[in-house]
Parts: sequence; structure tokens; C-alpha cells
Amino acid sequence: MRLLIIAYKNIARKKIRSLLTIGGVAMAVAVLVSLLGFNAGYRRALNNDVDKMGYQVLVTAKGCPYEAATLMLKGGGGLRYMDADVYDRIVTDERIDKITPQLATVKSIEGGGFAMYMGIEASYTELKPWAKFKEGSWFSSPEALEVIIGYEAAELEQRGVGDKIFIPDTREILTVKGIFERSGTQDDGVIFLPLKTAQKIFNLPDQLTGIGIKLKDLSQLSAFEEDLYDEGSIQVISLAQVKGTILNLISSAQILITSVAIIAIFVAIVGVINTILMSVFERTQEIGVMKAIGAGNKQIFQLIWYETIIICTMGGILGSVFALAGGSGVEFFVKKFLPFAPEGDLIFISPKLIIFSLLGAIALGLFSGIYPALRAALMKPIEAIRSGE
Amino acid sequence: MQPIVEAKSLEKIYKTPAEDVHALKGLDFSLQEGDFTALMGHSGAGKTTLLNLIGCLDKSTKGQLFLDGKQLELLKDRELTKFRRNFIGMVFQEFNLIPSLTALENIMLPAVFNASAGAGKDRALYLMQLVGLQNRQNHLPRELSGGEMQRVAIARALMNSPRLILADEPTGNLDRKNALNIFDILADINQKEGVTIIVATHNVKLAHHASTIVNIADGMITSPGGAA
Repeated sequence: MRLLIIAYKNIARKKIRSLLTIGGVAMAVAVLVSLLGFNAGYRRALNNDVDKMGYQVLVTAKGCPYEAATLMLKGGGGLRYMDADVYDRIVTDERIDKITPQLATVKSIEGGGFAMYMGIEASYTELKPWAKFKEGSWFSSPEALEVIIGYEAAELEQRGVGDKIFIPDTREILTVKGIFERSGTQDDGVIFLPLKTAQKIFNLPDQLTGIGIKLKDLSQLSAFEEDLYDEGSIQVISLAQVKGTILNLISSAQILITSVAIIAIFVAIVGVINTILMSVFERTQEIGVMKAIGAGNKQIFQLIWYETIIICTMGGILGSVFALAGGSGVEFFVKKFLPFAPEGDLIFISPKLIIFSLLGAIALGLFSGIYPALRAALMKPIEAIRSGE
Repeated sequence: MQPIVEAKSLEKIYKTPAEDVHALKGLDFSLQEGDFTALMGHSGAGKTTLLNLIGCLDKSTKGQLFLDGKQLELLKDRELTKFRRNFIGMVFQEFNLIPSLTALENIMLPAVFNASAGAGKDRALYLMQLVGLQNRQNHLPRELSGGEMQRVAIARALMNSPRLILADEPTGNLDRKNALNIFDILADINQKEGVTIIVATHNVKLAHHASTIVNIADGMITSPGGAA
């Protein structure tokens, strides 16, 4: 028999109280794991989204960089337009490896919600070599009345190749020419049209919302940006800027969640100290008897410390299970409050994170146990024994 | 031969806000190894106080108390703990078993605190047999009778093979039959294991099971070391 077993049996004596304390720790750990998982998951999903755009630079009409960042990823509201001749002036720049013009627009659809339409040229797929057709093929001509639908949009619209699709707010009915495979990016929810068709049916002649650019050498970005400064009506946004901007956008949400996590951890610490201290007071005579039959101060300290470590470790394991099981629910909730949510899982709980949270829970136990363990260890045996008389 | 317990002008005063209580008033006595001593006296006579001092649970106010030749007043807390762990076995009136541990685990408890001794389950099982509880090893204290609990407490006191057993009114909560049984066990242990035993009791009949009776009244020894 070891002290650890005695500690476990002590905890098992007051099942309800111990379970409630373990539950408190579990909740704190679950919040912490979810928060850190969200941090890691969001960055991963954002990186994935941005990297899969295929370009490092986006040229947009001058305006709010936040809008531009959102536009770059999913063509959100507040779209601004620029003249298509900007494209003609930039395209000859020798520093450019690949370039593609885009015209994005958003229309409300029947039954609520929005659909995003994007006018593109063949160069769009050159920047996204991973974009493959699930079925069908590219537009038959640059002005064809055809669409290619992203994987999820096709599922949502229940459309296949050859089907007709009505474009809201226009009188046009277009034919589905192809459906892209799932890419795990925002493109999955987009309906693509030939650029010229889009400009025509949305009544935006010679207008663009963005120009995606991949430079031959990324170190030339600053110089490239500087050279475009003279173009008064546009702004150049780099991939790194977009990431930073979006991370800034969600930082307030993260601060809020972090505050909740800190409060939860504090409450858990107080709960553990309270439970163990109560247990120590209830067992004062028992501790006195243990000392009378040979227990040293160090052993009594260890015994009580083990109890807090067991409670916190069990809470840590349970909390990690809660976080793993409830991740999708938390994600659903968090997505509602985010200004921008990239595609893919927003909560990524890695084995490393689980180990980190378990170690954190043990550390919480070590910290919370110090005071009750000291109180128990420093009891005078004779006074402790008399306390029960 | 060096006495196992020796007291010289031993005094214990409890300070209370109202008055100073003189629990022991200058005791002088000695006990030899292997003695089975009954400490007789009424409630408040000073029996428990004396046992607490000998058991290294408390310190005297004045005088000297020697255990195996070592003066307890000069020892540090850590050394007193070692004495309690290796030299002394304690039996209480209230049994004081740990409710969450089985009878066998309660008996093994002193060994848990005495890792260097290496005593384990085998000795605990032997002691269960010695006190006649071989069939009760997995029972929790609440599943045992008062007499059985006290026998477990005696076995626990013997776990680390102490040279001295201190029993404070061990039969106080037992009926006559169980009380006699406990005294028989203590006498048996004294004879078979050679352990020195000091039992505090106010029961004259039971005290006569001991080899020596020390009467104590009002904090003073009235008849030291008389044969029972």
C-alpha cells in the first residue's frame, strides 16, 4: 500500500463533493483547451485559406483594409470596384509571375442567406493548380452564359453539369459547365462565371473588385507596392497583412474568451483549495492519529498534496474529453461571433495540447494543494487527536 | 539495567485563560523492558497526560522523561516522529481506525510511514491472525464490532515491531467480555513478543491482568510499581 492509494481512498469517501470539484476543474480545463485549440485551429485554417488563394498580393480599390482583407478571402459586403484598365497597366510588370483579375459580387438568395458570384479568367486556375474538376470542364468561351460551381455551392444548390441556374437580381439563366472538387477553402461556396459575362450581367462593365498577383520574388513586394502607390485609386495588400488584419479582428474575441478561461481557472483553484481544506479540517483527528502512529510532517504533506493532484489530474482528463467531444459545439457558437471565419475546423486540439493541459491541471493541483497540505502537515498531533474528543 | 521509561520530577501544566492546570506534579518512576504495567486512576488523574508524554505526542513543562535512555525534552520534532514510528505503538480508547481503509490496510498503515522497515502484507496478515481476525482483513471499520476494531488497533500498534505499546483506556468503549479479551491479547503479546506495555485504565479487575500496577491520583503517583 502506498500514500497514493490512501489519498485516492480519501477522495472516494466523499464522492459527490469530489465529483463536483473534479467537475469544476474539468470545466476550467475544457475552456482552456478549447481556447488554445481555437487559437491553433483558427491560425491553421486562416493560413490554409490564405495559402490556397494561390497569390501573395491582392490589388483592390482603395478603402478600408479590413474590408479588403475580407474581400480577399470571401468577397464580403461593402465591395468596392476599380477600373479594369488598372489590370492592363499592371500586367506588363516583369516582377509578376502570375496575375488574375476578379469581379466578385454577392446576391441574396431565396429562403435567406447569400450567394457569392465571382467573375474569373483562365489565369485564375493557373494560380490555383490544385483546383480540379469533379465533373464538367472550363467555360466554352470568355463570354459564355455558363457557371462553374464550387463543391459546397453545388451541394447546396443541388445542381449538376448541364443544369440551369438562375442568377438573382438579373434576368439571366446560366448553364452549369463544371463543378470543382472540394478544396477546403472559401472557393467551395462560390459560383464562378467568365469575367466578361459577370461584368455584363451584373452591369459592371470594365469593373473589377480585385487583382490576384503572384510575384516571381516575394522580396520585391515592398518595391512593387511602392511603385503602385502612384495609382491613387488602388491599394496593395500582401498575404502577411491579411493574416495580421484578420487576427487583429478576432483578437477582441480571444481576449474575451481568455478572460473567461482565467476566471474559470481561478474558480477551479479556489474550489480545489476549499474542498481539500474542508477535508483536512474534517479529518483533523485522523491526521493526528496518523502522526501518532509514525507519520512525519512530510508524509502528511505528501498525502494531502496527492489528493489535490489526483482531483486535478482527473479534472484535466475529463476536461480534455469534454473539449474533444464538445469542440464542434463550441466551434458552432464561436463562429457566430467572429467577424471572419475561415473554412475548415476552427478548433484544433493536438496531442501536444492535451499533454500541455494535463500538465497544467497537475500544476494547478500542485499549487492548490500547498496551503491545505501545509495546514495538515503542521498540525500538532496531540491537538489534532483532541479535536475529535 | 537501563529502564525503558524513566521519569524524574516530571511536571505538566496546561495553561488556560482561567487558571494553570497542574496535570502532573513531579512524577518519579521507572519501568523496565518487558513490563506489563497498568496505570490506574480516576478520570482526570493524569493517566492520559502521562501516556501522551511517553508517546512523544506532547512535551513536559518541567522535569525529565527518558525513553530508552534518551531525554525526550531534548529531541527535535523529527526525532520524536522517529520514536513514535519505530519505538512506540499507540492504542486509543476510540480505536481511531481510518474509515476508508480495510482492517488489513489499517494494520499496514504504520509500515507505509516507515518505508525503511520493509514490513508489509505478510506481517500484517500474521498480526491479524495474532488478534484472531484472519477472516476480517477486507472489512471496513464500520463493518466491525467495537471489540474487533480494538483488536485491529492493537495489531496496527504492533506493525512496526515497537518495543513499547501505550494503550489509553483501550477497553473504555467495550463490554466486559470484549474488555477481558483485549487484556488477554495484550498480556499474550507481552509474553510472546516481549513488548513492554503500559495500559491506562480505571477498571481494577482488568488492571490485575498486568504484572505491575501504578496508581496515579491528582497528578501524583500514589503507589509506584506494585505487583498486580
